[in-house]
Amino acid sequence: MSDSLEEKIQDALLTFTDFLYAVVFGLIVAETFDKIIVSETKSYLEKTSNLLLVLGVFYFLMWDWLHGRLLTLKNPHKSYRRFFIEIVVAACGYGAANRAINARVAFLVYVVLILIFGALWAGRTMQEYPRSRDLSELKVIKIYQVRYAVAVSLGALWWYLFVRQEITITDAIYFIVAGWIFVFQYEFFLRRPKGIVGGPGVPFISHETIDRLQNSVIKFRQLIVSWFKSGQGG
Amino acid sequence: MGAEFMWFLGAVVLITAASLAGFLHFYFTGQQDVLDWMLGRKTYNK
Repeated sequence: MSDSLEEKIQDALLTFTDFLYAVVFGLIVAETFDKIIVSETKSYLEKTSNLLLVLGVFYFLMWDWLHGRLLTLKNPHKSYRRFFIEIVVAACGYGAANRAINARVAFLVYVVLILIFGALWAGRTMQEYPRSRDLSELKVIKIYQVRYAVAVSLGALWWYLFVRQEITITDAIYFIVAGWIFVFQYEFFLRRPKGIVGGPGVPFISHETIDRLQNSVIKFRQLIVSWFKSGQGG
Repeated sequence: MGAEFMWFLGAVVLITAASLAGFLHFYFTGQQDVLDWMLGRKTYNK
């Protein structure tokens, strides 16, 4: 197969995935309007908590899609497996948003699925590009997302068994703060490139601040190691 | 403290444990290149 034909197929797959995500995001906005904003059965408090939760889930989906898209641009599809994984992730994204719109904690189940399929996607990318410049990032994604999936599953089970199924405004704030901490810790361990190529990163924190924090942790670690060594020497 | 707040604290502990587990995975499997990249010892060669 000629290179130009392969490139055209890769472009078509990317366009299809982008279109699918646009449909998913459009559906989320339409359902948010119908079921929350113009709802006559929900109180203002319920509407606010639902909107907060949907905004949090929407950001997570956008953040996930943008990073996946950036990695696909740098490591284009070589087969259809990653493409189908992306379609499944988009479907799970819709599921997560739909549950969040209905203020159900089951949205976390879809988040777990997104994390697991994301890890599979990273593993497949590593197989397709064993010498990729993004290999370290892909390894981190593969390992971390499985562990985060376990953590989110336990969190979802805990909430379902010991708290409640529906979500109030305080709960929505807790979910958003926990989500922010998750994104912060995730980005903290990834040395992404600078500028727009690095993706959206952590909300309300610049890439420079993350770099400064990482450097502070490394300096602190070096201080501990040198203190420990001097203690052994003395 | 309410059950929600306890859940929130538990969620933070779970997320941090998952982050630590990921880091320790690379440490104990001897994947020094990934650790170097994560700790900024190896720059992003773009």
